[in-house]
Amino acid sequence: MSTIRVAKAGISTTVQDGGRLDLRHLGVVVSGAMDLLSYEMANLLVGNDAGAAALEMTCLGDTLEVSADTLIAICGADMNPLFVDRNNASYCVPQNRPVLIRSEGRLRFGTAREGFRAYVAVAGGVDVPIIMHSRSTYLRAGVGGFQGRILKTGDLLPIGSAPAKANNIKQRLLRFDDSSKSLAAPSWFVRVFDPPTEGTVRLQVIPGMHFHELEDASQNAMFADSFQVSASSDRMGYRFNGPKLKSLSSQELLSEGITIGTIQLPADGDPIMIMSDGAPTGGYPRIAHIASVDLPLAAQIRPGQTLNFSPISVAAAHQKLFSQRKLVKQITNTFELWIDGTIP
Amino acid sequence: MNLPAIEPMGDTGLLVAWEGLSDQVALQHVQSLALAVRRSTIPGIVDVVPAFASLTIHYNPWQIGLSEFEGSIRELISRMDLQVNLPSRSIELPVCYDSEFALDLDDVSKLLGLSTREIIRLHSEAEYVVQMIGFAPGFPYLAGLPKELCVARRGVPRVEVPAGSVAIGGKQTGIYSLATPGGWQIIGRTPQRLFLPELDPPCLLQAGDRVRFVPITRQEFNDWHART
Repeated sequence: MSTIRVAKAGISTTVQDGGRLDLRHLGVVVSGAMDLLSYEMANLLVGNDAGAAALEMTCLGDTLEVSADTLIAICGADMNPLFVDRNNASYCVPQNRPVLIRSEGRLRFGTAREGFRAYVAVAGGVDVPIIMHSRSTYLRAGVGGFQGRILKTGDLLPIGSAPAKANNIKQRLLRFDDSSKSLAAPSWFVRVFDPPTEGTVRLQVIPGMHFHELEDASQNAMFADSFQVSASSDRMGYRFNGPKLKSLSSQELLSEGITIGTIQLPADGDPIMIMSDGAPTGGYPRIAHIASVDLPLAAQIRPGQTLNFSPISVAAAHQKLFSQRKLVKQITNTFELWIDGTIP
Repeated sequence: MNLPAIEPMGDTGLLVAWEGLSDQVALQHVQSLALAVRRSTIPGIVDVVPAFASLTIHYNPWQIGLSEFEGSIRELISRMDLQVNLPSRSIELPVCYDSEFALDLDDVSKLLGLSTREIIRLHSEAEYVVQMIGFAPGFPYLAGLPKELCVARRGVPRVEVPAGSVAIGGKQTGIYSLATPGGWQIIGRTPQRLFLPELDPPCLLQAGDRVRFVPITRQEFNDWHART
């Protein structure tokens, strides 16, 4: 079995897959990639099965030691990845496409300059044990992923054996062969959405059960004003600073099952949004839920960035989600044709 | 028949919530519907999360649209049979009420004007029902606390409550399945792990289970740990 060594750990890199959607009734958090779309694309581009585990790097990435003949794909945030080969020659590593690393060397990620979370898939996937139906890291419980924790310098990540499709992709890439180069990659790239750089991000939300219990001024502020993502935001949830929202009802609520993207309003008036590591139940008023189509975008928002919310109905949110899936399907089909050599 | 409110929980969930029911009746409604949904052939169901007086049903919008999904759930509710005997397991949990573990037992004793021995007797003689699992993996919210033991939560929550701590707060009792922050009054500790990630299902308890606490000595607590 091949391995990848973490030569220098980033700030908060974890092993993630699609998460544990079906254990919320037992209080188990979902975990999994925050930006499931970039995670899915990265796996697709190296020929992995949809559920293979990848690395999620947040804010500042790692330096990884990789062996020759490693097929990778990087999607999501741009952390200015560089490959430094044995002879100390360095190359920019292109994103959103398959990249075959042909000599051993170091893959170095810097600070995210666009987006916040980068996904690194390796052909064969990160082969950590499956725990509770998933390879995702459950940080709070210290289980799953790589030893239940954030990666540290010196960790040796086991990599599974590459699927047949990965080998086809490698063969296809070698047709671009320029034997002097340490990397082989196509000139095309795929992109389902653009991670936010600066300026205001718009997130579409479905009003929640308690939205209409907000004071009129707060209902208006929710959609007219901007909110800033606080620095204390993480995989459990985001805090927003902006207009203080007030509820007309002071009734204490019982805990109920909530979902990823649920925006709750604690008594201090600053909304909080549940993300992938957030508890599956909550007892604060639910003022809105991020439309699923925008969750990948929400995952890429940088702390300090501003955003506004715009309302959307469930039916319209489903339609947008279907359009997004259609785009993914088109990319998948086109990629298959490229692997076959049907298209250049 | 008390008809619940049905509301979308974003674009991948549906919340069914009852109002004005006693704990016991709410539990019966929630459990009956949870069972009916799990046994149904409605496509696209991802998870069914019972809470005190509500059920959140997570669904996959690729497989079913909202109106069809909501219609199917309404139909299940209209056909729901509350008379049916719900499957319920009976589970005994050992608890050591030794002062080393029962961090708040003396405070609770003062607050309630009951001796610690009386508190232990009342707490371990009652039968409880798991209303929901939440807050942390495998953390049971248990109904059935004798009213003599209803007590305010701690003024200042603890930053970290040791795993296994058995605690009371308000009219409920529960067990901290992981070391987490917490504000309930701790009156003992169980050596039995509640969160078992290596097993399937990964939690000892589930909503609807009946639970009794069996007092054990400090020595028995140690022996249990030595065995497992």
